[in-house]
Amino acid sequence: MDTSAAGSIRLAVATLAAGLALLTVAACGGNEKNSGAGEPARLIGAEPPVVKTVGKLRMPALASDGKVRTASFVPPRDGLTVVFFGYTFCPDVCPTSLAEMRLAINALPATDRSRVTVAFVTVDPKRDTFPKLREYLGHFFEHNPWLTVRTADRRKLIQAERAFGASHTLGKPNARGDYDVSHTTRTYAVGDDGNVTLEWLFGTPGVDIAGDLKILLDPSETRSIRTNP
Amino acid sequence: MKFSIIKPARISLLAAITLLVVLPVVGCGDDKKAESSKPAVPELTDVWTRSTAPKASTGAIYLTVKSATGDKLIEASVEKDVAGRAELHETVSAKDAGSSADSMDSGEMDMKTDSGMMMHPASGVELPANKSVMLKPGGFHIMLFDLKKQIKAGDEIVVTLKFEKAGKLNVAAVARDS
Repeated sequence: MDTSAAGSIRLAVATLAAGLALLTVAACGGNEKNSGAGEPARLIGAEPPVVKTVGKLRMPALASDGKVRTASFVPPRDGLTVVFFGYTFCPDVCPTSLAEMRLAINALPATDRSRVTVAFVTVDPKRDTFPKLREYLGHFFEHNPWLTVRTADRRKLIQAERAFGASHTLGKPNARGDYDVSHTTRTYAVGDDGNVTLEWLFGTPGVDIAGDLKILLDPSETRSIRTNP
Repeated sequence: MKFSIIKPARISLLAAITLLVVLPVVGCGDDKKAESSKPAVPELTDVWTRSTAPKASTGAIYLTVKSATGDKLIEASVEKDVAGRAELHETVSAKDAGSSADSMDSGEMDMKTDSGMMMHPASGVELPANKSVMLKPGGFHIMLFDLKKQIKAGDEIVVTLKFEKAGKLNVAAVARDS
């Protein structure tokens, strides 16, 4: 079965698959800012239209070390926090965004992965308990630092959302007690200065996010990007 | 790109090329090729579900479907040992869905605020003749409620799809992490 002919077919198939995967990404990436060869690297995500300072927020959070504490969204020096607002009951948008982020982080060089902390803010604290959130985040980011924010104080949650430019609404419960949740679906990158540096729309492929993370984690690249609107 | 259900040694190079050329086209939701061997029976491709967290109560199944003669996907169900129930759902932009009065909870909408997305049950998915329709993240999907067990990568979930014209079809959704 494993003849050399079969081997060469397999190789051809693998090559084709790789080539076509690249083509697909290029065609579907929705990237209008694709850089040509030789041009400086460009970001796929959008820089916020206004300065968004989130560094002063202090929120109750459970971290991947298993401890609940008052935490901020500010990453350790030279790191990034990527922030998503959602709820664990969410079957579609939230797991999609987190899976793409996992893909993006796993595409980074090993030494850079731990520089990215994933923060998940639940907009549904009634159903999302800390144990549930721990399982959820642990499932997606087993090998990465994460933080999950949960506050039953709506004013505090809304204050945090406003700082990011996010929002959510909870619908009225049906007969089963289920209710609809709508929420902002973009992912925010926060730098060590406590400001939002980049925002990704829902549906941004993990490979594109990975490219952006590499740029954001490289200090020299970041400088050239900031001076180049 | 991963092809977990395809064994390269078993397919001819030609078949591989055809498949790989078709896949990227499907991936963009822009189907230009029309080829169907059985006209009335909807063609299903890339039926998948995402692996879930250990005690997750919800999940979603995605697929690409094409009917040569036109049809409507009206219902989906799974075995009771997989999930309590399954429903066709659509994720839409919250603005399009018309936010309820509850939005006072969430602060004013202004240019800095993204009103986000929400889901609602869908009465069906229209399948225009010969057009590939994708149930995909951020759009139509089959929502699984009350999951009975964790879905792990590689698991197969049999889903029964009911079409207005073609009737019922069983298909296996393969679980993956991405």
